[in-house]
Amino acid sequence: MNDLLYEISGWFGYLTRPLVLLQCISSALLALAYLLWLRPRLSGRGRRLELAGGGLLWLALRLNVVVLNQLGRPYGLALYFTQLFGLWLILNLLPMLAARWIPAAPAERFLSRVVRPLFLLLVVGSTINQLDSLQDVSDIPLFPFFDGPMTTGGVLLVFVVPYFLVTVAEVPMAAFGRLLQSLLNLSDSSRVALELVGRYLFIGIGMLWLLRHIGISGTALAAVAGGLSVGMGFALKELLSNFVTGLWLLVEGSVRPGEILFIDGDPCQVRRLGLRAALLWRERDNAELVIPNQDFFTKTTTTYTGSDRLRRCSVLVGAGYRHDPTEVMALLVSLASTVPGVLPDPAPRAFVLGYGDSAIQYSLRFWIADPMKNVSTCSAVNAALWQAFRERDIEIPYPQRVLHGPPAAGTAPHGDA
Amino acid sequence: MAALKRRAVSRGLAAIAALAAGVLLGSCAGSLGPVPDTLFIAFEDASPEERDAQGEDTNRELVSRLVREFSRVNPSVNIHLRHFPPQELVKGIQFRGTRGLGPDLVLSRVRPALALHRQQLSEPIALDNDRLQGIQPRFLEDFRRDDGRLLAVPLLVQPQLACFNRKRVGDPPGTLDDLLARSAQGMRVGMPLDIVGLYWTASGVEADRALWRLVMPTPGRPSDQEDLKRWLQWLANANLQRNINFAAEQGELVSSLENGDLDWISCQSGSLERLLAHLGPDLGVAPLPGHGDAPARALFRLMVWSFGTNSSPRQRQLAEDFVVFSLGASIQKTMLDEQIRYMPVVDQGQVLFPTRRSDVWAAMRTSLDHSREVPYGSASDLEPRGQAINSLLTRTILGAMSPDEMLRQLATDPRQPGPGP
Repeated sequence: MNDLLYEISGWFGYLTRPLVLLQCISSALLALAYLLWLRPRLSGRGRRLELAGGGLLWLALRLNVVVLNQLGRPYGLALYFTQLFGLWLILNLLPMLAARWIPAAPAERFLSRVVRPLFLLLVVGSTINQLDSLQDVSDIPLFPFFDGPMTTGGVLLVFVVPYFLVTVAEVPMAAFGRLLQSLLNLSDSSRVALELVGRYLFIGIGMLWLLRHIGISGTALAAVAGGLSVGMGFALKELLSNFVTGLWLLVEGSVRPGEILFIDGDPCQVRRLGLRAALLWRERDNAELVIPNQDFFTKTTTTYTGSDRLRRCSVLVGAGYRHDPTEVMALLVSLASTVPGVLPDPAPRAFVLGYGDSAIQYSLRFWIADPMKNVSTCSAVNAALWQAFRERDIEIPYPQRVLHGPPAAGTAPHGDA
Repeated sequence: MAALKRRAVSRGLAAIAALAAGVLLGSCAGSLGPVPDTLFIAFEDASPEERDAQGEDTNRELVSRLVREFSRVNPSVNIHLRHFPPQELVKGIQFRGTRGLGPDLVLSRVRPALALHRQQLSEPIALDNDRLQGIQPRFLEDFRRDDGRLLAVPLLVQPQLACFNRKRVGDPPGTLDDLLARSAQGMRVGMPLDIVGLYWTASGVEADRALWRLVMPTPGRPSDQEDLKRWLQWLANANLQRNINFAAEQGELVSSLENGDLDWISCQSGSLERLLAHLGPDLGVAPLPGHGDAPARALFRLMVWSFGTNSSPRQRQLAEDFVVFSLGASIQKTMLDEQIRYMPVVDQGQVLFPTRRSDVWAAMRTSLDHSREVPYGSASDLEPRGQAINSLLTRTILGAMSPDEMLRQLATDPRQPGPGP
């Protein structure tokens, strides 16, 4: 650690050089002029104008480089600042340019999760390389670690590689999944499962590379795993169980992103199958349910998307005794076919369920393609049914009840007029 | 979304502002004094693979030792080292120079030092003669410009030697004829396949001056053609000997001597530590065989200091102090205690040589006394000329071209200087 601090302290030694100060101060003054004078005047006057202000600062920084060059002074640092600021401007322009082709949300997510962290890494790495040798700095030993020392580069990799493995793996695996889907004619859920397994593999291989790179050999890894296996087994039992279950479920295919499961009487869509738990979306109240993977492994799961995505729905209705059940059933079947969302095949069917106190009970059963649309389609069918009954004067009778009370006082049961 | 973006921009600008503030504060600190004196030293150091090919060791310990010794008497000076592979030294210093971040001092061989000077990446220095009086004049003169300033200051010197296995070679050969005779009796000999490494063989047939005139842009003499032919014939003849081998890289010769595949090689003193580590007391070192009683006139290599162009006045002062310190008799003796790869450039009467491997030091000293510096000159076309001659020489030694043909090519090819009028 002392070596690293000593190396960093050396960078400040450059500040005693007038040639370095000239570049730094001239660039810093231009940046301050922009921040304190120009930017407040452009603030709130539109994104494009603000970016144009940034462009002006870039031009001023570039002019500064030209002037330094003309004066025969070193200008590389000033040029470096200009290049960094130019890159930053381009990063801010990217969302505007990408908006034509890519939806704003995923574009912003990619920028914030991948591009901007990469830019930060670029700034740190290139700045070190300006002042020093990036290779030399990354080789500085910090503390003993297994067979050799842990270096600055190793520590940086421990933080950076897992982050980028997790965030960046999504993009190539999504492309790979779509390619395989088009080649093998896979379903969407199979594609998503494939992407997930691919991501885990990508991350796993990357982590193994990282461990080897920072000096943890296979032998050392086996020794650590052996020593900690009992403790880890107890401490992380649930976590490991959920992880293994998640992988199993993906391979098995019963719970995949995009599947519709019946949870506590409501259809829910699987949004994500994570390392520990699955995230499900319940349409009824727009709630998201986080359910440990193990639950799907040990409990009965009802799915609407196991072999197909069809769902059978039913609507109950009563009609008066005076209407011919054959006519009513024909009407029910024909009207169901007219409602959007009701599939013609399998065809809707109507049944007489029984004879009630005041009405004959019918059931209209039909199929829909989207299991999540049960309530809305049933509602539409019920509304159409009411209209059809009204047009044909088919009665939906109220329950009829005859009350018999004692005769009123002073009146004969068979009253005389 | 727009607000988020604005915040992101603000963060970026805040970072720039922080950088600017840091720079301003730093500059103030620098002018007020809290930033300690800092000296940046770059040195040429090949990668392990390149060092293996050259049969040499790293310069890192040597430079670190110098820094440690200087820091003992100047504890307030922070010294930061940067190393560059030989082929990247000039490029790396140019990259830093355009930023004002170039080193204050560069330790390198002469060729890169001259390249730095040609590209104005190093600055000639005017040092008082009093401060340089210890250096032998013959090492210094090549670096003195017309205005009296020095474009580089020598630090250490590497002579060329004969290295052999004592178990196989009792007394080393003293002349070229002796070398051939001993090889005929079974002594396995290894020699490098380049003009600098073979220069000493030319002295053995009294052709070294003609060869010098061939390489340097100086007019030839009538006898040069005959001298060069005699030398080339000797080399071609040597290649026909069963026990004489030519190797393209010095490291190959060193490895072969270490492994026992060769008994006698011509080597640079830079390989001695590596050979000593492998052969121990079996390593024998002697001056290269020459002509008659005199040892060969070989070429030596220098390690020199060049001064950077980006230094502040204070850093330049420290750099000068460091160089003068490194030339002191005391520190040169300390370096001799640490290694046997280099000889001091200071007057050897000022330095007491260590008794450890005194035979090696004696051989190095004898060889150095009869050697001259590798020809670099000031002409920028010297390097391509040397490479072209090297290529022809390789073909001649390996039998792909006769000595007469090589001389004809040298005489007709306008890129080459003629060996005679």
